[in-house]
Amino acid sequence: MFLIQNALANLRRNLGRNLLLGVIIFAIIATTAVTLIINNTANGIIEDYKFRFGSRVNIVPDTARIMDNVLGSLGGMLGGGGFDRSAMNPRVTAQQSIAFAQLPYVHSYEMSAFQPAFAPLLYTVDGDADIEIGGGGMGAMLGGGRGGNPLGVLPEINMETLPNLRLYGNSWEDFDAGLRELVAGTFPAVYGDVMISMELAELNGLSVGDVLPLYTVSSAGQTPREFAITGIFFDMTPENATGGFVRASFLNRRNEVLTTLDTVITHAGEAEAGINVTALYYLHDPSYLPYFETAARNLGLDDLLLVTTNEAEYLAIVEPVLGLRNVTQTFMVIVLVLGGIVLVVLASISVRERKYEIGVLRAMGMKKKQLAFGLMTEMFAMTVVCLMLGLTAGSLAAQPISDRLLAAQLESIIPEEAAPEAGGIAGMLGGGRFGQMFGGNTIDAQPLSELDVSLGLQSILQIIAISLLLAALAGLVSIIRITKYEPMKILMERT
Amino acid sequence: MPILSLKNVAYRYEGADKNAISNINAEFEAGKVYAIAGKSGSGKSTLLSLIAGLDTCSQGIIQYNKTDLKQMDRDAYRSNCIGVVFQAYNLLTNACAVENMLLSMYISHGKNFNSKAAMQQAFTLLEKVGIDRGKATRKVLKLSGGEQQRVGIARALAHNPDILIADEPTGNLDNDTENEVLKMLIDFAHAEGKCVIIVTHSRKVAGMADIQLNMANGTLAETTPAAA
Repeated sequence: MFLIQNALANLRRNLGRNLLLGVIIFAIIATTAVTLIINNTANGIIEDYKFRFGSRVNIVPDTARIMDNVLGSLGGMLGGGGFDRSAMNPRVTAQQSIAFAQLPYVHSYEMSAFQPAFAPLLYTVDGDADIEIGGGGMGAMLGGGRGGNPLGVLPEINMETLPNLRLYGNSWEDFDAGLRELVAGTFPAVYGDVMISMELAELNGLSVGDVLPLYTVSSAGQTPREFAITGIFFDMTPENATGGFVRASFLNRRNEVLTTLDTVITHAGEAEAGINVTALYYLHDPSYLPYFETAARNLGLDDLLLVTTNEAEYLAIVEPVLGLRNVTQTFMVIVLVLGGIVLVVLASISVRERKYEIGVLRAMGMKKKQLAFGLMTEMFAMTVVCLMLGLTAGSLAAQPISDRLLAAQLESIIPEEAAPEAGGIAGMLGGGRFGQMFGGNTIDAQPLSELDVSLGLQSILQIIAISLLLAALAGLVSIIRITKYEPMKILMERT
Repeated sequence: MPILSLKNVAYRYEGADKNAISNINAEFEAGKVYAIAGKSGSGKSTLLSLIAGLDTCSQGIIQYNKTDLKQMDRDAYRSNCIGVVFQAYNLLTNACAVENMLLSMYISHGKNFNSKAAMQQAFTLLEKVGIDRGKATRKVLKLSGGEQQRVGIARALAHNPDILIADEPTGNLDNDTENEVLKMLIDFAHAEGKCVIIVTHSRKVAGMADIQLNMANGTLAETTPAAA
């Protein structure tokens, strides 16, 4: 304890020299804090965008090849041959969608599923209109159902038993958006649980706990199934996908039966078509894309479908931040190297200046380790003070410095004209219905122009570690010099 | 029984072609004052540094209580067994007198160091050598040469060593203070049973010692007080 007290007193006793050392340490810590704060924030943003854009897999039609195929088929028709419809209609099957999610390159996925259903014993909203429609054009209408997988195609169905319900697995986005709300019971939790709209419940006198019998429709035919109603929801979404232009129970959103994902996809293996799975895959890293594609092709992915990520968009967005990160990283390395050298030299000079003091203490019998402990304590105490000041100054300076650096980065980027990515036509139409259907992308993303930097725990820990390392380095230099000193020689030099 | 004995001690500085001191044989007993006299360059300070454990002899043996210094922890020897009053004071100039004392006591006592008791003891010792509380808490650089020497003596006595070595302890003092300091050193030997070795040019100081030793050309010879 006395050694620590003496070390702290030494800071005061050698105020001038320690102030100089302190200013150097403060400058190093403050600069490191600024660069680390910016760097860590930039890293976080880069990783976030990398995951959201660079790692998100898009499976889109290869429009150029499809066009070639169409032209080829037309040529065949003119020559008397038939038109090959499959050449225009590449698709990902439900089984494939599920299998892709299990690939080792996939970090996570978002999956929902849809399947037409038929309930002959139930009254449905707009059910009266089904009779008027008859069979005309229904198949086409079904294909454009609400946000379903456009690559999927409904099977040929018996027109006398038209689907009048839609079974959705893991489709809760309207609840998140506040357009639907649970009014009774609970959300489906296990296989076979479903929830229905208030309208459907009232029409049929159904309530929580009742059994819902219906037929699910797929290429395997109509499968009779029974579900347990666990919840009833209030629905504020637009009732009809066509805006009321065409009325049909199948198109009315009040006839949607919501359930768990496995309730729908468990039976996907039984059907070649009819169960539409929508999946978004996020890779561990954008560089895994070729491996993912190879594995997907091995699982039967159609050659007319391209596998891409939004890496170009990701790069366009984060380019200035990447530049900023490179600048701060380079600057930090320079500061640490130069600062470290200056600190070591100053610490070395400081010990030389205190040679006499060390000689006296050694002559009195102080052990080298006690001296070393004292010197280390002085260095660490000074570093702790500089650390607090440096962290404060660094966190205050980080935002304005970041803004200036980012502005400079933005100026240095020549805006590139947005170009269509692999989505081709779908990409060009990006944002439109067709584009959305095929998951097309455009590089119309604007580079990040603002970066809200803040001092996070990671930055604090890194700055503390760097500061302590610097202090240890400077202290170590002092200690190494001490071990070479012999008290008699020092005192004789003095005399 | 001698507390310190030197047997055929010789020392040669690095790179030197001859010994600075050679064939030194002497014994020092507790309760006595020894004076080592000699001209400048005769090897007095070299001998002092060997006895003080600041260096080790090139040849021969120095024994403290029959233990070879080379076998001992010299840091512990310096901090517990011996006190040194340097000609150049060798105080920590950026600390005050009492802090110099406390450091010496801490080095000697280690884990048993009690700062409150040590502080009290330091003030008492400083008062004994004529340094009042006001001066005791002043930076030593602000004290006169004589006062610094007194602080040096108080610091050497702070850990109550068995042997006290003083290199020209009164060289910077006026007559009255010189007498006071010498009396203190003699009392330390006679009253407290310690061994005091004074290295000096002064015939007066040498004359007050119980035993006088003369250093010439790197060798030591005992002389009687009368012969000195």
